[in-house]
Amino acid sequence: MNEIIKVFGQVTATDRETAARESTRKFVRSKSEMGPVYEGRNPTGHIMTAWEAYTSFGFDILDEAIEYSGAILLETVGAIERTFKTRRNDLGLSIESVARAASVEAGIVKQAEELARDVPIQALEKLAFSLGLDERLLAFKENAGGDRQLAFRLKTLQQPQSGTFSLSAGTVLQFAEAASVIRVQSMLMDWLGQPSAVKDFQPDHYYGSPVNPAWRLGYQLAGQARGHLDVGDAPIPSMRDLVEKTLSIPVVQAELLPTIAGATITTRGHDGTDVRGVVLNTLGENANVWVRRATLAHELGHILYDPEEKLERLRVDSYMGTQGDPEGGVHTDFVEQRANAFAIAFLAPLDSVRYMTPAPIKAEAIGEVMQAFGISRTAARHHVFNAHYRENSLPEWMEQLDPSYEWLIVEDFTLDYFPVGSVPLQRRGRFAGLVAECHHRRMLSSQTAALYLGCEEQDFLDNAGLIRDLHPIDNV
Amino acid sequence: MPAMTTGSSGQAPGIPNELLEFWRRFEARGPRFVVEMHESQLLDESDGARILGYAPTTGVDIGSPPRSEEEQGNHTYIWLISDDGIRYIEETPVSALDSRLPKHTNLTGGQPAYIGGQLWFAAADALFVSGGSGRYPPIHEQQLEEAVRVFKAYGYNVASLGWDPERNTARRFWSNP
Repeated sequence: MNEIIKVFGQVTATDRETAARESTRKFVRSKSEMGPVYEGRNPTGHIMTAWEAYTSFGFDILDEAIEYSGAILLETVGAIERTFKTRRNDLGLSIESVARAASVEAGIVKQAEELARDVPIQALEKLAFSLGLDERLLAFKENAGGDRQLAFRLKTLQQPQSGTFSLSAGTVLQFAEAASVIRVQSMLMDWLGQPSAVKDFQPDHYYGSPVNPAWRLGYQLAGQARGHLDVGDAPIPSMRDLVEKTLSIPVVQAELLPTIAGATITTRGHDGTDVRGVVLNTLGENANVWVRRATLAHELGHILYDPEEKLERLRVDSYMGTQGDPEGGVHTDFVEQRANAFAIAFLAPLDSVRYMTPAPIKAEAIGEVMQAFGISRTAARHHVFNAHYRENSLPEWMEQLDPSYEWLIVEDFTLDYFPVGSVPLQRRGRFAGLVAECHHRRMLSSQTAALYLGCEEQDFLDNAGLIRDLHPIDNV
Repeated sequence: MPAMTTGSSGQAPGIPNELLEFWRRFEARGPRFVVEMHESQLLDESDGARILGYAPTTGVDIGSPPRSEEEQGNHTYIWLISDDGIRYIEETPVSALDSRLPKHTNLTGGQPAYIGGQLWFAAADALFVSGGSGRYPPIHEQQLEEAVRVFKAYGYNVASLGWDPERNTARRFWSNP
């Protein structure tokens, strides 16, 4: 016997990481400790796979757990209570609003902050996930891996004087939970060998000058991105696939305030490095698939090219902003101006648009641009006008055009059907597919899968196969 | 197993009934694992291994159990109940083991035992006791409680670190205020 077999049981692997993946040994964590699951014990704590335990706590903790039938996770006395209280204060929220958003009783939130020993670990983990904490690190690390800068940003955005948006407590918690989804999705993609490709793009700190405005830089960056992705001047058939699959960027769909189009969130990832993801509103103008494509392209511009000091962990975009004319001069915010120009030129390259709309510009030609590149009428009119250097007038009247059925199919943003009705909107789609895939590969226990999806364990087990069928994870 | 003397001051009024009852109620089991050969090497008194006698015990280091990862406690002993009583040894490097830390199996030579754990001497007659052993873990909460009763029967004030209900295993740290 060697130390690997001691910790992971009978495995053929000779290195720790491979052994952890291969191991069928189960571990259980309570609020302050973790250890192996002994046969016939039926523990009530959170059962996790060897892989989860290894990636969460490291080999030495697992070795201690085997040697003494348990390992202490609690970093300092009172760490759990302090973590919850600090997080809620950082976010500037009341106990009641946290309880409402996390679907737990207010008493549980209060107990978590004062005497967590009386609260089941599952309730604490659920609460942690809702608050954007890394539930795996609860007790184990002070502040449980929570991104405090993001929390402060969310607190600031609740104050009316902070700008266009004044976020409600409910919206703040939606973003906090979205940060958890983004963190976990990035972790699962790493585990499956599909790490985010964002790191292949370098942030661009230049936002222009009076002679080289931000919108022009946005157009240039769109060309760069297209070149990097090797898509030429062709239409982007599915923004969803490009962002989620090609670039492995998490996209969280949520029902936000109807004025919000989307947001870009940066949060601390599972390995301590920053990860970025998109939050896409399913309400308001995004109901139109073309508008939603533009919102996603706009957020992509932020994610790929904006340095963190511009994003400040969270950038919330309104429909008014993302649908505006990038060259129209309404933007005083160069970050938004550049992202807007990036979005439209990324979806529809200027040269192609100019070629498709010879002067005098006809309504039919604009319609062809809309259908070919999947952009809305408002966006197309601005873009065609700009493609002609704002020199040729546009037709006054245009027929109303709706996205073709093909656009609806390829983008497939619909989340109407999901086999487990209790799974919140934010956790459906590709995120759910990744969770089910990792469970299938014995990387995640069914309890963890249920925690991530926010449903009952049995409901997950009954539908795990169907979730994998609905949201297959390719090329793994 | 070779005979070991008790670590007490020499007052040995015999085996307490609680230990006899413990032996009667529970079965000795082989270790759940032994990783390397030296972990089965039986340590004796010359290595620091002792059999617990009646309180007070002399010649031990006074310590305290961990309260968290940060407050690790000090002067930890490992213990187990074997067929000749409660064996224990301080968890410090042992020269006979090439300066490795002793394991519970070093108290049995890899042979069966009833239950194991860790202990700390708060005083010569006061102990903190846990069931923290992966080689001879308590089979259930009641067995740990019975073992604590045996310690008490030797005249010690005993505080048990208790049971972690969520893991359904012995707790490893002192969680009381």
